[in-house]
Amino acid sequence: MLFHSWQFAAFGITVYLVYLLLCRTRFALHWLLAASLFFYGWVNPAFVLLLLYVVVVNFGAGLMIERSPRRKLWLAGAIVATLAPLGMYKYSAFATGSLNVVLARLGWRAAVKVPSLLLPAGLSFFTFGAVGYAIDCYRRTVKPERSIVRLATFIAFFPKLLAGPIERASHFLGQLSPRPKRPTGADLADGLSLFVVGLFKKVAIADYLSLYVDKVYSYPAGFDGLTLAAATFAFAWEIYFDFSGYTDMARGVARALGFDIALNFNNPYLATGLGDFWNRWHISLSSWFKDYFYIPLGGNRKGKLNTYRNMLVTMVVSGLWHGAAWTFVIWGFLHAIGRFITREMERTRFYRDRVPTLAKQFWVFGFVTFAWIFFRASTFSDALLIVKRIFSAGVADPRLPIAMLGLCLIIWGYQFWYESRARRVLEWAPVKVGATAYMMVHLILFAGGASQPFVYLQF
Amino acid sequence: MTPEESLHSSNSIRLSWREWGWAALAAVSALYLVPAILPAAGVRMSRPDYRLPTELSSDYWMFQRWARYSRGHHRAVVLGDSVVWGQYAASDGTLTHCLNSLLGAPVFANLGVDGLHPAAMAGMVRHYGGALHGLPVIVHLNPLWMMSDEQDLRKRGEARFNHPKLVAQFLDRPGPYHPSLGEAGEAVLERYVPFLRWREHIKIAYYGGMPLQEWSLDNPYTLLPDDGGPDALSSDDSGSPPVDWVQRGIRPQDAPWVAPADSYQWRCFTAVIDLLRSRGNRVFVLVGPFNTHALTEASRHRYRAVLAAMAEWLERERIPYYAPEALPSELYADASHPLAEGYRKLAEQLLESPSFLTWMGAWAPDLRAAKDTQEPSR
Repeated sequence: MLFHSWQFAAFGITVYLVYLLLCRTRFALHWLLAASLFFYGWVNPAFVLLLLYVVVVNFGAGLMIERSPRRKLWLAGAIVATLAPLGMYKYSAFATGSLNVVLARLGWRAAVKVPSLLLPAGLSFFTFGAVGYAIDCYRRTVKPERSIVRLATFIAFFPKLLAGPIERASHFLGQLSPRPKRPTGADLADGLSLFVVGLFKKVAIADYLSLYVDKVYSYPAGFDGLTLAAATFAFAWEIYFDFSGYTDMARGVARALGFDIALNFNNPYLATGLGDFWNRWHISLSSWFKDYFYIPLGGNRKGKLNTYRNMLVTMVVSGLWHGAAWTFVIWGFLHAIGRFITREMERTRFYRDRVPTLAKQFWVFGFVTFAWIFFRASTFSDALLIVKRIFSAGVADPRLPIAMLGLCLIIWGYQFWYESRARRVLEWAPVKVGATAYMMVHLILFAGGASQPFVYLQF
Repeated sequence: MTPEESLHSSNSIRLSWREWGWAALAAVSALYLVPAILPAAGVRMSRPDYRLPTELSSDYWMFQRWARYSRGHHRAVVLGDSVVWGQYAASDGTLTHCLNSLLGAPVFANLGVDGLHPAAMAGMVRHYGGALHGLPVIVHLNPLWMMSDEQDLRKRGEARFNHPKLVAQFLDRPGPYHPSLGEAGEAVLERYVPFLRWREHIKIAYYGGMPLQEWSLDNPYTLLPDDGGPDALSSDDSGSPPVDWVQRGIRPQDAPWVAPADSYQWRCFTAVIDLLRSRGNRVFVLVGPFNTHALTEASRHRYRAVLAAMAEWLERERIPYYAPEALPSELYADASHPLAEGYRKLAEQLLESPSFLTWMGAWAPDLRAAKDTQEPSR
């Protein structure tokens, strides 16, 4: 069920109204959980069992980690048991496919059968949320939850279920205990504000950009370097608007119900370094990797070489989290290299003090955009072809619609303005009202085509 | 970052309820003002024998506009599908042209719309035909829509048909129509929000029926089409060659026909009549004339039974009607569309028909009198 669908409108309004009636009763959590399970089971009810499996595993593990002397063993068991379905659904085909390639290179004829499994939506997101909970219980930063309904509501909470943000138990469970607060009128107004901005990002911009990007990336061999560069530029904005639009809508729905869920994007294309970029892009995932993967690996504690090794491993695994393909591995690898470079550059006084912020922002944007080629290309050979053409092939009219380019530049300008001292102008009531009215009219004027699914739902 | 700070980060716009009220007011005002302020199309409507260009058949904003214009400039209208529109005739060869020509004045407006089967006509009249209230209306019934279960839209399953946005969206839907909740919701909203109709009009009339976003991929360096719009579309020529059905290679069909008692389209047609009468329209029904030459003997027999049942209902309801025998075979382009000469003959027959003359005399005694004075001079 997509946020920008009629089904969700009917579902959301029903959930909200019933929740208003129940939020002061002991059935509030039951209602939220039932709604979340219904939401998850909308496409394939069987996947609800998988969700419940993750809940049960982590509920039991949380209690055992608290009580048992073999805490580490219970944690390891919980992590393995939680990540096992992710491995099976998401990586088994990639692993067996890669194994077959290696076997073929070795002259081995017998091929391992590549499984064909449909990836349950949101699996990567809710399993990471659940693993985070188990680790927090182990670290004693979170008290193991005694109510399975409450823990299930945390893991399955529908606004964030399919594509995050990946919530922390320490942040969210408290909002459910002992009972959720009653949503106020201000919560609803804030939620609507977030939702409309997210809807605009998704429907008006991301879906529009995808028309051009899909056309070019579906057959890159048919296009020249400038067109491929233009499509890559368009994809950089498409994925930002698509995912941050989803997040805004998710946060809006949660806010309307009286909940706060994590900020996931903070003008990432204004970042001045790759480290800064990852503090602004998919914040809930990058902070998850930092806290539960990079730091346990050793973080930056054991010298430069180990720091960079840890960064490299973290970024490559983060790439693999996005998709089971070598293109994602390369994408993660490139980001690791980018982080090394910017980290070293930031240590020099010249870069810190003399290079204009705008130049740093453009370089980071350029690097991130280049890396998106590997993220978006269907195959590794397509990605290489695109890179080769961009840097060597001739120039032809890219036929990038001016309306598309204009929208990107306006939003980019808006973000620069938002982070400048003149931000107050954007917070002036007539500007906010005018912008919101414009977005509503734009949505009504241009909506009506087929809804595009969110890019990150495939992860 | 506190939750309160994070709420407003990353280009979110936070509005209070009061500001939401202003934003909603501004948006709603824009929705109503934009279609009213932007340059209106429809210059061609003042031309003699105007009919909606076929490209605008699904442009219900334009139909509404044409209905309003017709109310101010014509004394009566003719409603129907492409038979009324004149599929195989130039605009000066249609039924309305022939009637007007014989009457010596532009009395009738051609409100024929390509593919407007009775179920769609019911929606068209109900939602976009309000301007026609009180006007004399000739409603044409093309029996083609009852030839088979498929044409009648009785049959379940998937099938494409014309004007799905005009048919019932939730209750009493045509058999092959299974819209998603979103499609049905949008179709219903379009009926009540003029801006949405205007949006479709812009899309159809200026952007070749494509959403602007898709259109811009083919026309990347402009937002507005250089030419186009409803006034650039001509309806003078139908584009279909005026060749008779035998020359086209059409062979007689053994159509099964659906009895009116079982027919979905007939039920919708009677709903159109009821609606028009409830709006004070003086209704005259023209049935066919269907090309019975293009039917097998058995099918022709079944058709006559259908026709008799229709006539029985029309008589019972005291609705004036005319159900002529088929025109000569060579005057048909296919199973239901006459050629220009066929329209001329039909118009002549109609003006000879006592039921038509009585009906016309009730709202235009001057025309009736003029017609009567023409008779002796013949």
